[in-house]
Amino acid sequence: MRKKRDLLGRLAAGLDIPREALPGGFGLSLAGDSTLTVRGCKRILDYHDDCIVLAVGSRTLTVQGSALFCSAFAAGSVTVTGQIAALLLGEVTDA
Amino acid sequence: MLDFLLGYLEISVCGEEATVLLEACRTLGVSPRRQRRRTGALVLRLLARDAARVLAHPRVADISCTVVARGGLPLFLRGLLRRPALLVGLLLAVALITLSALFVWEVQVTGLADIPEAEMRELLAREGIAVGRFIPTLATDEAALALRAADARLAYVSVNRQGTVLLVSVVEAVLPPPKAPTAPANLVAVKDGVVTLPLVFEGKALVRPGDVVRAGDLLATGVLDTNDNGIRLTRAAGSVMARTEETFTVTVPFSYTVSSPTGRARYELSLKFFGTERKVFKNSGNLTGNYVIIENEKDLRAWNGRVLPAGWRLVTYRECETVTCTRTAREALALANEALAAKLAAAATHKTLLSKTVETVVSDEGVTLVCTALFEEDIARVAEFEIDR
Repeated sequence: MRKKRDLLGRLAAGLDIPREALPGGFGLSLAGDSTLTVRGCKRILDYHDDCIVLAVGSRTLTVQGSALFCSAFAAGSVTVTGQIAALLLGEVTDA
Repeated sequence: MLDFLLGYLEISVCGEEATVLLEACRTLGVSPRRQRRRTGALVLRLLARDAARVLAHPRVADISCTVVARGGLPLFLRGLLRRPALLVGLLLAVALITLSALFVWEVQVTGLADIPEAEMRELLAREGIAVGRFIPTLATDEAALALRAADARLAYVSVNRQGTVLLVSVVEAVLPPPKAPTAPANLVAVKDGVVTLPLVFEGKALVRPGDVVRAGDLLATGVLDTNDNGIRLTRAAGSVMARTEETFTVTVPFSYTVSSPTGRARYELSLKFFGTERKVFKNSGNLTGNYVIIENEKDLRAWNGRVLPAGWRLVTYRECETVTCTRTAREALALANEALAAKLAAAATHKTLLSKTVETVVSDEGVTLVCTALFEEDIARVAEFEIDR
């Protein structure tokens, strides 16, 4: 799996295209501290006022802050709005 | 706005189950229109069509989420269909508004100077120009021509229609002044008196200062003897001032009656609509007795102040009872003096009050003032005569 990811990573680097354009890639756009657009979101893992956890590629993205909402879903992208304090990338842990 | 037009549902979901609902939304590509948290629950507003898809999602079926609110136009229309009377009323209102555009709502008249507006409106109504007139059958040019022909005081009339408002422009004719009468005439006395100053500037004066004349006596003649050429007829003119006497009597009784309202009232309510009036309520019945009638008419107005062709008229009949009151002799005398002063003032409009003597008579019924007033006034009046040629 790691080999495949590395292969896709190298391919993206070699072709000079964004990694998120290839399978398993994801991208983030943060506008100020209030709007975060996550492209390549596979799943919402947890949803709270102060913490939203999203599955992106083979990793998890934890958005911490306050008054957080997932306000828009379209074509694999999720827009998180609210007062964003921190973004954490982590490994998927099977519960 | 889109929420209202397409309809919406608000779905409440508790705690951890919010993740499932949001994941279902993400899977289906449905974005919540609005979100808020309320006492531990997440409330999502979704468009009605999206909500149906989300609620049918297999994972959402396993969680407990409740629809806490619905709204929007589709829901309103469905509710309306369940109340046919309301729908019929709405349709009737729309039909009424549509049909009302076929009738005259208002007639505005401009350019009036001497002709009273009420008289002009009566003329217009006679030619069919009034509120409530069916517009498709209204020929404005013909109506304007007919108005001009109907009244010589109207030099020009134009009738223009702006939507449901008729604008009537009037130019009044300038009539020539009436011709001075030329028929031969004498001056005669209209009442008894003693001549003080004859001022005759046409014709021949027949009286001198100090002469006593009676009503009907000739004061100046229009028949002039020219000695050599027979007689010449003219129209005698001038004034003959004379002292005249007039008696005024004022009686004020000690007891009198006044109408006092009892507090009971009867009503008649009429609705006016496009020039027609219909009674919608009446509890006055056949009234007998003493009533004060108060009419209150109200026209509805649009936001811009324009009078609408609708309104109401309320006639109130206030019942009154007759109460007999008494006044003292002093009060009666004061009232009699006031009434006498008013009579003298009215009488002295075109003459001069020289002197007066007042006699007071008090009886059981009341106070009577007998006033003999001496005036100086013009007693001459023109009296035309005919001649056989």
